[in-house]
Amino acid sequence: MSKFQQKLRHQKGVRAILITVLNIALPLLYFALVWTYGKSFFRDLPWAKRTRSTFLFVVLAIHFIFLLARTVSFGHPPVTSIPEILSMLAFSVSVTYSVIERRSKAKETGYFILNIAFFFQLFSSIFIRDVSAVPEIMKSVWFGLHVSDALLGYASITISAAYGLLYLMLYHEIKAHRFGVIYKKLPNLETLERMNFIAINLAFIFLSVAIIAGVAWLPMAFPGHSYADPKLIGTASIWLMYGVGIISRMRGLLRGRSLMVLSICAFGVAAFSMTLINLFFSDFHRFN
Amino acid sequence: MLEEAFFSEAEVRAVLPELKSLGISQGVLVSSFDRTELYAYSDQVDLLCDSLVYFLRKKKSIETKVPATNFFSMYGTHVAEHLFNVATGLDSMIVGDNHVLAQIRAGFELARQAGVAGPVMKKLFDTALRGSERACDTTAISEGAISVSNAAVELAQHIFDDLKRKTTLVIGTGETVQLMAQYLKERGIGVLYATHSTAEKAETLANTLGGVAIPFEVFRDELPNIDIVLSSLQAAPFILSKQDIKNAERIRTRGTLLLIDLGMPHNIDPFATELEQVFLYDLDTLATLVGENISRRRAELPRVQAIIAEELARLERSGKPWNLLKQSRT
Repeated sequence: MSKFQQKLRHQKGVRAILITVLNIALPLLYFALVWTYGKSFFRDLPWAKRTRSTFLFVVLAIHFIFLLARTVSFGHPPVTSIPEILSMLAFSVSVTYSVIERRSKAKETGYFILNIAFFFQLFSSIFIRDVSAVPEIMKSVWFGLHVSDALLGYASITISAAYGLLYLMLYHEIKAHRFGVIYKKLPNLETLERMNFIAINLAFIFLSVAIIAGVAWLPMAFPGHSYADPKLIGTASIWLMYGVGIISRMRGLLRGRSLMVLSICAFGVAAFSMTLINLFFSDFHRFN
Repeated sequence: MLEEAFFSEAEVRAVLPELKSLGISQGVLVSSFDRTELYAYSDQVDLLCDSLVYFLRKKKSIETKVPATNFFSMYGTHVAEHLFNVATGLDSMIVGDNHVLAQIRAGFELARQAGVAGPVMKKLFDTALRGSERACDTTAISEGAISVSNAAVELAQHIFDDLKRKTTLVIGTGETVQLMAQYLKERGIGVLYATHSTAEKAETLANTLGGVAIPFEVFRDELPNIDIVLSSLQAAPFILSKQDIKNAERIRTRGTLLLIDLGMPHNIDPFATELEQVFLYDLDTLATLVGENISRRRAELPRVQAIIAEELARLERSGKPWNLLKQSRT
C-alpha cells in the first residue's frame, strides 16, 4: 500500500472514530444545553444566562462537524434515512432558533425550542446506521441542497408554531388576569409575535430555495417526470399559504392572537398533508 | 415620628464629626423617611446605646416629641444581621423593597468623607451591599411591582416590546393614574395625550406630564392611534363603550390595546374585554397582580436568609473584631 493510500486509510479511521464519538456526544450536549437554558429560565441563574448562547454556538459547531464528517465519510449528504433526517432536523431547529434569538435579542424561549432539537437528535443517535451504498441520485449536490433547505423550512414552520403556542399561553394568562410562571418568565407578547414572524419568514425563504432547487434538479434526476406530483403541489401550497400569511401580517390584516392561531393551524396542515402525501401519493420522492 | 427623626444630608454631615466625642471610633448614620439608624463601633466596652439615642434626639430637638422607648438598640453580630436584612429588603414594610439601599450607600459615603468610616464599618457595609447584590441577582426578592401604579407599567411591559413606540392616553386627573403616567414616562413611553371633561384640567394635566392635551369630545377619534389608555374619571355612564373600541379596532393597525380603568364607577365598558386585541384591567385586577408579586417575594425569603447567613459567617471568619462580637457588645 502506498503512503498516500495509508494516509487515506488513516484519515478514514479517524473520521469513523470522530463520527462515533460525536454521535454519542451530541444528545448529551443537547441535553446539557437544554438544562442550561432551563436553569436560566426557571431559576434565573446568572451563570446560565451568561453562558447559554455561547454554549448553543458551540453545540451547533460540533453538530455541523458531525454532519460534515458523515457527508465526507459516506459520500452523500446525511438525509438518506429517517435517523439522518432527524439529526438534520435537530440541527435545523437549533440553527433557526439561534437566528431568531440573535434577531429578537430574547433568550427566554430556548428551553422550549431546543427540547425539540434534543429529542430529534436523541432518536437519531439511537437508530442511525452508517450507510455508504445509496442510490446515485442521493449523492447529488442538488439533492443535498434541496433536502437541507426543505428541512430548514419545515423546522422553521415547527418553530413558528411553537412560538404561536407560547404566545397563546401568555395571551390567555393576561386575559384571565393570571400571573403565574408563564407571565413572569416568557418574553412579552409583541416579542413572541415577532419571533413567530421571523420563523415564518425563514420558513418561506428556505422553502423557496428548496422548491427552486427541486424544480431545477427534477428534469436532471427524473427525466420526463411531471410537475403535477402531489408532493410538489403540497409543498407549493404550503409555501403559498405562508407567503399569504406574511403579506397579511405586513399589511396589518393579521395581528396578535389571530396570526398565532393561523400559524399553528398552518403547521398542522403542513404536517398532515406531508404525512398523507408521503404515505399515499408521491412515487418519485421515494428514493429507497 | 419617623419624619421627626429624619436627618437630611446636611444634618448628617454636621453630626458625623461629633461621634468621636461620644466615644465612637467609627460610625455611619443612615437616614430616610422610614428609618434612622446609627451604626457605631467603639473601643470603649462600657459605651451605652442610651447615650447615642439621647444624642440623636437632642440633635433633632425631639426629646419631648419622640420618647426614647421608640428607639431600639442592638449589639454584636445582631447589628450586622439587621443591616443585611435592611439592605436586602427583608426589614421593609413590603418584603424586598430595597429602596433604602441608596440611603445605605449614601450614609456610608458621607461617613467616609467625614473620616469616621473605618475598616470595621467598611467591612460591615461592603458585606451588606454584597449580600444585597447576591440576593437581587440570584433570587426574585425584589422583582415584581408592589404598587398598583407600578403594576400597570409592569403589565404594559409584558404586553408591549418597545414602549418608546407606544402612545398613551390619560383620561382624568386621579393621583394614581397620574403616577402611572409618570412611571410610563420614566420607562420612555413615546407620545402621551391627556384629556379631561374640563379643558383647563386637561391642559394642566398635559403640562404636568409633558404631553399633549386633546379635547374630551374627540378623544375617541384618537383611539386607533392609542396603545394604552389610563382612565380615572368620576363619570357615568361609560365614557368608553365596547362599540367605541370596536369601531376603533376596525381601522386600527397598531395591535394590542391596554385599557386601565381606575374610575369609580367604571369608565370603560367591562364587555370590552371580549374583544380579541383588548386587555382590560381595573383596580382589583391590578391589586391581584401586586398580591401575586408580594407572595412570590415572600417565597424567596428562605433563599435570601440563607445568603444572609452565609455573609454573616463570612464576616465572623474575617477576623477581629467580628469573631469576638457574637456574644459581646460593640
